[in-house]
Amino acid sequence: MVERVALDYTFAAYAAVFVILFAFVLRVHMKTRMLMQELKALEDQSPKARGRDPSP
Amino acid sequence: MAERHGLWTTFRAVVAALWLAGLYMAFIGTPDERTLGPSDRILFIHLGAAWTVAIAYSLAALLSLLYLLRPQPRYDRWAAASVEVGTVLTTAVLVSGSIWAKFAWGTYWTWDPRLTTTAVLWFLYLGYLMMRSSIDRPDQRAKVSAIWALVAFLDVPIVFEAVTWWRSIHPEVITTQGFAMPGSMVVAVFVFFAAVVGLFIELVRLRVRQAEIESGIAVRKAQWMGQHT
Amino acid sequence: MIRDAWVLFTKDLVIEARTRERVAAMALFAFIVLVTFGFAFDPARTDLRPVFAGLVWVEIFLAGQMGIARSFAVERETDVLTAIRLSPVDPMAVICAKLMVNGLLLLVVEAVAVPLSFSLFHVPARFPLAPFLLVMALTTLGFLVSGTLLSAVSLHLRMGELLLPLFLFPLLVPVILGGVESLGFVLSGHVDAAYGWLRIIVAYDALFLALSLWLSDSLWEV
Repeated sequence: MVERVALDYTFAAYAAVFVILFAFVLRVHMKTRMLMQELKALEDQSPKARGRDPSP
Repeated sequence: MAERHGLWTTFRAVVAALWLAGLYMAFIGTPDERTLGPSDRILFIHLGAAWTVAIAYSLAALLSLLYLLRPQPRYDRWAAASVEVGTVLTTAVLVSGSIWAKFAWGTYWTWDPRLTTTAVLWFLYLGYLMMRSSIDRPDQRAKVSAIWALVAFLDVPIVFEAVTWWRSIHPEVITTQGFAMPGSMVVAVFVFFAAVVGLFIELVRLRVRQAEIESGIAVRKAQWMGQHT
Repeated sequence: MIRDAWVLFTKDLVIEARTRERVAAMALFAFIVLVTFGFAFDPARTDLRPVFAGLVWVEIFLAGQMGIARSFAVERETDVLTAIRLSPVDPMAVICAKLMVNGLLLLVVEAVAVPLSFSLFHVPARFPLAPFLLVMALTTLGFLVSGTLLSAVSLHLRMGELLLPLFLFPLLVPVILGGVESLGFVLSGHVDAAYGWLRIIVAYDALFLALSLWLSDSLWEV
């Protein structure tokens, strides 16, 4: 019985650690997506993409 | 470039293998501890993460010192990423330790020196992350957070000393006689340690890459603004 | 450098003497915290002697933090900061001047808060004077040095004054523990036990004094 309870605690601890790590990776991933979108928006706006020379 | 890319792919594969090996050894390959049964298996991930936290914050302090002596943005980026991943791991250490304590000591929290010091550590470095997010100018942010990383790091030994003077009940894993556990467990502890360090390196690299892209975007935006005003 | 520090110190002192803003706010807040503790713990029915040292330090640290948070804000608001930066003043002198001003303010707060605490919490003020003063001085120095360092840091932050206690109190853990324990020992007559704690406080004081002086250049030019 003690064994069983101990194993529950063990799994709970490992699960908690994995959840924390996963949450961090997810956050980093979301941020990367946001940055990529921003990068794309900037490239679309850039003069080269519009096909005109920026210098007057 | 392609060669380096291949190297990192190999590195990732090794880290993944270490995690699988660590989990196998932790749950199947080691005997139960006599007094507490299987709950001591929490130790593997707990110790691995705790030692990596020590590496993370030491690295951040070293890089911060380098930045103060010779300001270069890359020192700041590596220090910041190191603290960030270190803080995530500190959270994991606190949570896994708490769950183990609930089973072994019957309470989620005790005011033991190592627990208390870890909690203070956690507050100090959460402060670092908050500090960063409330400064906009990159060079100013780098300098102020380098100062804080150094100050916080040097404070930790005194905190530990003070709290130890206050009280102590944490189980000693490493004593002067060597490791207080069977040999197969020692191997598992080190495999897990290597696995967590590997993950740490991978995550820090990811965050540094991201910070580089971010500053690249900022520079480009500034250029664009310059051209159009 | 000493002359520069003295000039800056007297400048701050004159400002403070004319307005009395900070010292009044700090002393009054210490008093208010004390009364709040009085309501919360009811000294008439509970014996507050075992926790008295803790209450006293919490009062002083809360009130002190409020005043220290403002130590550089005055310069920023009146733009004196730029003027000081442009003048050939050693950054170390600026930090020293601020340490002196803040130290004086804390002294005033303690002169108000400590005697009032003894009388309002019904704790008999019988203790050996020299160890008591030593404990007060060394603990206050630790708070003063790290508080001043962090108030210079928080100058560069958005909402710096608001965030200051968030950074300061975790850093202060050794001083809080040391101050509370050693003051408790002195008040209960165990002076020898108090000296063990002073070791840690002295280490903290020395480290943060050295760090403040060494970092004064970096603190300034950002």
